[in-house]
Amino acid sequence: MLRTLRSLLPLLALALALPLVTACGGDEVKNDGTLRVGVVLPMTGAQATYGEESWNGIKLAQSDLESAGLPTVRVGGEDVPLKLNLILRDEVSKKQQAADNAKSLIEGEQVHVLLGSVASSHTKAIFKEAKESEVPCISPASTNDTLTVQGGPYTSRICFKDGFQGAVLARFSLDQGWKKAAIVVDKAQDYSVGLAENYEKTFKAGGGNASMHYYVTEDTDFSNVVQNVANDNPDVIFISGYYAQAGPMIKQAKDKWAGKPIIGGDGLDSPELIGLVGDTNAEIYLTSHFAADAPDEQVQNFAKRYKERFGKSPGAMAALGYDVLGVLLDAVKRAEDPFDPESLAKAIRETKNVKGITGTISLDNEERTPVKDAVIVKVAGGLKFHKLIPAGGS
Amino acid sequence: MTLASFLPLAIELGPQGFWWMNVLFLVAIYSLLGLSLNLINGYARMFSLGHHGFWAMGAYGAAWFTIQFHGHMPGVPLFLMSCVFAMGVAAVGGLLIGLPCLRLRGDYLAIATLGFGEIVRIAIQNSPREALGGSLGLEVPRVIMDVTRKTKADFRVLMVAIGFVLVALTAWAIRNYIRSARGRAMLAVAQDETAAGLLGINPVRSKVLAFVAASAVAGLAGAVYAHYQGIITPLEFNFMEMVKIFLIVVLGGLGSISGCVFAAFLLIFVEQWLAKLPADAGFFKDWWQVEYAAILVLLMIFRPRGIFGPREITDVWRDLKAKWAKKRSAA
Amino acid sequence: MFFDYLMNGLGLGAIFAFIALGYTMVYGIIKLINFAHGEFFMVGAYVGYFCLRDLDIERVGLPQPLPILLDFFVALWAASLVAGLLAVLTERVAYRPVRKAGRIAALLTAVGVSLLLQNIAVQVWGANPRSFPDPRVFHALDDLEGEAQANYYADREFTTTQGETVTEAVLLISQGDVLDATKRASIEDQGFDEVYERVTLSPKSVQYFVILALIGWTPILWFLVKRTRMGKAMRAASEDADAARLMGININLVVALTFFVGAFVAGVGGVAYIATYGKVEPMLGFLPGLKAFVAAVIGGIGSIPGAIIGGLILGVAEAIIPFVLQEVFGWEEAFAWKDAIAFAFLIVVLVVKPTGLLGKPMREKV
Repeated sequence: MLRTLRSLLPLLALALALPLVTACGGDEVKNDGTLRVGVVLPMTGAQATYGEESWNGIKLAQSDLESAGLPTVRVGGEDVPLKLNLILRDEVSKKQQAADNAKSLIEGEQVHVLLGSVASSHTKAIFKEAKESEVPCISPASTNDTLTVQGGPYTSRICFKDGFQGAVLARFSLDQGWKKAAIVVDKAQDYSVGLAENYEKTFKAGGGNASMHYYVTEDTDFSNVVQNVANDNPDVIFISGYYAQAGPMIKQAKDKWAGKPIIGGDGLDSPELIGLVGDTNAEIYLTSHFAADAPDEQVQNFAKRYKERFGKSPGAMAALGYDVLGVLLDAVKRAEDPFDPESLAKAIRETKNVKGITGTISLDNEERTPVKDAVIVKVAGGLKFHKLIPAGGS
Repeated sequence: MTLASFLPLAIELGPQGFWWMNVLFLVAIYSLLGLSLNLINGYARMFSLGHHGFWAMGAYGAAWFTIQFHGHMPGVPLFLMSCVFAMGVAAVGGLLIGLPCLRLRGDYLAIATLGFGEIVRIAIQNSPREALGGSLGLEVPRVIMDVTRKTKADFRVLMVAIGFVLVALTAWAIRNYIRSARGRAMLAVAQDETAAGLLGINPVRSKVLAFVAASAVAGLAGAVYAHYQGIITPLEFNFMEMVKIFLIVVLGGLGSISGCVFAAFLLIFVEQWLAKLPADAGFFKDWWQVEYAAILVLLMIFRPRGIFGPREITDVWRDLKAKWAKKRSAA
Repeated sequence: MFFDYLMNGLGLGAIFAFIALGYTMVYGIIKLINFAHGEFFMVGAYVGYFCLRDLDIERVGLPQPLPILLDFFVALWAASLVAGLLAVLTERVAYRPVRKAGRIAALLTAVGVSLLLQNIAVQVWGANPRSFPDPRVFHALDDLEGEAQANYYADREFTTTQGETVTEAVLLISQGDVLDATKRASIEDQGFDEVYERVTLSPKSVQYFVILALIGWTPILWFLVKRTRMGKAMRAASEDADAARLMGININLVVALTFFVGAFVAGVGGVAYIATYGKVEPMLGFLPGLKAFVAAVIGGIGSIPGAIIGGLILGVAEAIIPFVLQEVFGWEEAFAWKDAIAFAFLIVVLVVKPTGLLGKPMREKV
């Protein structure tokens, strides 16, 4: 025992000494009217396009808001102009990294507010950190139903939830006269499982008949699940998952699904999808938060400026990224003291009628999830605006 | 009743302090994992690649237990019992995979255990949401103490302390075990199974014992990890984690206890430090995963038997001192 | 219906076999589980992808279906050669220095090389999955008026006759839709100076091709190992490396050659893989690589026929066992468990036959 301990002694000493040494170094950052905003997004890895789009949207929003003039805030009895300091951390499309990033932003950078992330299980981990550290956190794009309820009063989001999205998709299917659906579910993604359940519920209540088929994120060979679906001979195929798998799946199903209509949720909404699907004869519809070619002046304007700056058409994540900063700034303006987490969280919860690119955003105390419009997008040589589904309706 | 009620720590940690606490906690966890894998791969000379499975079993066992009995039991005993339960679950897993697979030799055992680890992960991932949370993961209630903005620092320090106490206990237990009759029997089997058998040692019992004990420690690491993280998802117990644990064992030097802890520290520190860099830190950040892998390959080429070889750090230190003394006397 | 699943299984199994061959050959000689082998496969897939995308043999104007066959011919050779050379380089730089240092160090070096190649691929080619180049026709009609869309296929730049640079436009043409002369002319009027067609290969026909390719490769490998001097040297080295060296065999050369042949075959597998499943990404080598290793172990690691049989058995097991569980036992989720089923199958095979199906029983040295 003694010898073992002796060999571990230097490490133990280090472990005990470090916090003492570093505790002294922990000086509070002086408040000069700078709002530190921590951003956690998947900039690399499987969801990299989502991270990139969201970050571009946030950056565009930042320059728009700054050129429009940021409000002044009271610091120590003086009015000083607000400054925004966005600190981005890459969660490399991994939950553990997302949690570590949230920790280091809250504790190391002492951010006043967190924004992020996209995939629901990653956002769940970030929300947990935000909840325990009592730092407000807004997710731009995580739709899983239970997130904000479990996350508590400091957490909120600006997108609709899967309960709504699933119902929209189910009603859309029924409206088209499709009575028999095959649901293809990514068993490794909670987003996928939750959305599929919501779809099934509404679809069956509306007199439809649905069957479930499973794959997992790591799969690249979809030949068997494609065959399973084909055996069912459905009227419509609902792929509840992400574009990186849905694209190749649709491609591999080219012969076997024989041009049957395909629908999907916002996980399929990526510019990459078209390239991955390739040559297809199927009609594909998606629900999303936004369509770059929607007949709306504000949307058009946004799409144009986004394209000018980044050389690409914006996807839904870009619009949500843009809106999340808008919602935050609106809350900052209303908050008694935007640098106090409690009062900022309260202001975010009280968000009412903020007009964003993705619709009008109002949050509530219960779920801190807006009731918003959804857009149905048709995939035909690009993501084309098809239909607007107004908030709450179908 | 939580621990905070009789341990009014009220520690203040600066930004760096928090980061260090997180790093140190992970060092403790990976040390536990490394030490237990060392028992199988280093001392017993079996080749297991399924340690992440036992880790996951422990984490999920503890999480499930805590959720089931949360509110029916005071916090601290619940924490302790969940750890014991987790060890039990992982040990049973070790027994289940150990018994049939110990006939296998070398790489065949490695691939069978790897398969087992992956099966555990996939099974958790596909589990119904009410049972093990499926892909969304499980949220573990905070039982040892409430974690809020004020008590967060206390919680971190407490967990680091628990982690290192467990590392010390495990190191002590392994050291004693190796020196006991059973341990020597295990080493004998590792040297030459047939010869050991001829000497009257039961090789199967010796191997299964090592396997089960190591699984139990990995389960314990999982339990503490689950309580610290608060949320666990199946994807974080993947094969890459297994590689990391294995790497810690080899870099530390197969069979070296302090080397294992040191390697865990080095690996976690480098990883966390690189991850802490802001996303726009340029080339260094963009290529960090490449750099990490390159460091690994270079270390393996230049220090294939571990950073200090299979020696304890104290031995290394003594040798160095002797060398210096010699130099000085020569001068 | 059963036949469909069997074909899916055989198609996947043939790809596993292509990868498993390299695993097994390398293992046979230096007893190294070459975890980076999956990355050679991935690099092969990328090289094949770039060939198929950028060769543009169609522009020459050969009669159909010659261009697509030529495309594949070139892609296969390029992919295999690059993968093979990369393997030789890796062996020289990373594996040879640790060959003496023990098997565990060698194994971890292999894991490190695997990580390194994956992450370099991420940096060089991006983490996003890319679609395998589809048969396509340049198209500039109605879909292109909002140039926003053109972005979606951002593969390379394309200059129109008006002198403006637009991104390559890809027509998503429906099956059976032909590019007739008038349509072609109207596309050219739009300013695209090059219009050409590609013939499609359906996923199913690719599956047949892959199985045929495996059947074609088996005698070649058999000949290489059993009938050539080099093959004899390889077998001698795998039997007893030291004795072989004493007999004047250049072990380093034999090892390098084994790596080359193994990765060469994996390169074929890489092209087959993207042609069947339609996507390339840097992480593509990991899971198939692992599975192929499992296949090699099932077949008995070190045995070349074992790798082929193991690959096919694993592929079929992955398709048929969940199929049976689903159809006969009514277990809806069976296919979500197919990886777990594959690994469980491995454990069962090993427990019943500890050295794999065709593996040599290990000798006890006392």
